[in-house]
Amino acid sequence: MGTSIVWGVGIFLYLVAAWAALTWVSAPLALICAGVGALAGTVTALLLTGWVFTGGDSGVRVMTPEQVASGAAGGRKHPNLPRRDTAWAAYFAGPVVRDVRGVWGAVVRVTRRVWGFFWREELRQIYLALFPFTLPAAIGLAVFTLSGLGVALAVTVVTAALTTVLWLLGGALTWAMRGADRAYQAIFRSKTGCPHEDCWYVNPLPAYRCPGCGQAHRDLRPGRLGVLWHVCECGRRLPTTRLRAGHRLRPVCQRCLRDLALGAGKLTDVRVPVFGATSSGKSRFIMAAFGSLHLAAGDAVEAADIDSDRALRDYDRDLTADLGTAATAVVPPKAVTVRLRLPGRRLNGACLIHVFDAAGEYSQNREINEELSYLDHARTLAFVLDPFAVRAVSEQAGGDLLGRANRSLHDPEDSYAVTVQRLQAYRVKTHERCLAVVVSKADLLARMPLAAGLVPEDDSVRAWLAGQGLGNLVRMAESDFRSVRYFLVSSRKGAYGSGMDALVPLRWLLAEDGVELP
Amino acid sequence: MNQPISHRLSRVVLLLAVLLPLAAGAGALARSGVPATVWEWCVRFVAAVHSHAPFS
Ligand SMILES: Nc1nc2c(ncn2[C@@H]2O[C@H](COP(=O)(O)OP(=O)(O)OP(=O)(O)O)[C@@H](O)[C@H]2O)c(=O)[nH]1
Ligand SMILES: [Mg+2]
Ligand SMILES: [Zn+2]
Ligand SMILES: [Zn+2]
Repeated sequence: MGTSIVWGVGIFLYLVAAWAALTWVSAPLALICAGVGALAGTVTALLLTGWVFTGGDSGVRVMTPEQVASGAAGGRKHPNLPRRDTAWAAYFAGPVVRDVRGVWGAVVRVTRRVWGFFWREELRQIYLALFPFTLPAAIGLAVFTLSGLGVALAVTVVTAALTTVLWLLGGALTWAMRGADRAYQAIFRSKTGCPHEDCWYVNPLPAYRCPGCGQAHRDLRPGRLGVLWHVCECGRRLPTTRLRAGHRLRPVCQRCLRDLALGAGKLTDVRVPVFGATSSGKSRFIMAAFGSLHLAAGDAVEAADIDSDRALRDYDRDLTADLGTAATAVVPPKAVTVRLRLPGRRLNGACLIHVFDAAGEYSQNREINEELSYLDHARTLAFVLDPFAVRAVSEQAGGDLLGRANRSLHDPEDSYAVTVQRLQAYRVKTHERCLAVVVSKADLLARMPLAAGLVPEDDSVRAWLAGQGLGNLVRMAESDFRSVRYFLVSSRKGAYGSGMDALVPLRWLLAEDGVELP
Repeated sequence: MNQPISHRLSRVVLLLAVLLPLAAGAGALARSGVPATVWEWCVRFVAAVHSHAPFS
């Protein structure tokens, strides 16, 4: 009984004291605490922001090139390729999000720590008992927390605004640059064919090697890895677009990663497969054509790679010595590529010419013909026809002439059909392509009465072929291709400048592809 | 692995974009007299509390 009265009095006194403290101490103290809390919260959060943005917070994970490659900055999934190149993401396309998250993380972390410091297990009872004095502190802490979160929110809003503006600007620039790049490619036909055997892939966009570390960058278009430049893992800045990378970086094939010619992807790219039966004169025709091209263009023409350089030297040696040409090995051929400067052009003043010379066996055998995928991607083709393979001619020619001609023993019509049927089987639109029919060994043919009246002109050659029993071939060619022209060619050194020059068909093929030779 | 300089620059720009408007805002607020008014209200509130207190 007595104890309960003591308790009652005690509680009454406590409530009175608490009421007094609330009015006289807590109310003014709460104001001061709120002010201090607001100031402290703002300053703390700002300091944390600065700390995170200057890289002080090791908890903020850097978006590394490896992470970008595995999709940290988006990117389409490819079966066997990384999502993106191993390069740094543009700051506002990824890392910025991590930084802002880092600011929130730091603010929340510090706030929790402060609350945790005051709200300790052993002090809780005391706080509750002294609640009139605790209340202002609690108000101060609440304001501290709110202002800290407010700063984080402000950082987020400002960042979001800036990021949006930059995405709009960057997006517009990206769109314009990609558009210009593609328009340029379409106008100048600069998709580039890989010259390497068993690949021959036509690259709409070559990969480019970083000059610093040699890594191949497969997608140097403006985008999330940078609009004007990408930054390689090794720190090198690489210019974007084919136009800007074109002459500064080494292009490589997307499919086989072997080197392409410098400027590939930017320069006009002409691919000329030469086909025809064994010993019909293909290799010799190519030699003579390059020889004449060199005479006509001089320094403007140069080999685009080491192998082509060696091939051109060999060609020149054989032509000059007038050696017989050795049969081409039956292996998938690498193209011989030359770079030709075109002084007449202001934009894109050069082109790459790839000539593919496969052994005649490929034109006689349907099975191995399948391997030559470069045939499918050429806009222009050259078919070499040995006149001495025609029955009427070989019957009239004496043994001496036949021996010198080292004639082809295979039916020209069949060698034509093997290749063209292959093209059609692969749904290549041959009626959009051009064909040069090259009647070879004209120097020897000219000695025969049967060739009297035959002159190196389209109509004359066409009529002559039809007269020798090749009318069917002529009809097939003209129905298969958009444009067919007939040439009479002597692949010997003396023919340069004459109507029988091997450059005549090459000039026509290049012109059909938009390249006017000097 | 060193991050590109462009990242550092971007962060500095971003930081300035946050701090400058904030500083400007704080300055404008101080000059506008709003804080002083708020302070006065608070003082009046406290005074009101005191005048209604049972022991006054
Ligand atoms: N006189 C003369 N001989 C030629 C001419 N073109 C080719 N020949 C000869 O014809 C033979 C065959 O020529 P190639 O160019 O090797 O024939 P190809 O079509 O490349 O033959 P494969 O590589 O075996 O498919 C060689 O002995 C050449 O020297 C020419 O215009 N005039
Ligand atoms: Mg050959
Ligand atoms: Zn690199
Ligand atoms: Zn390739």
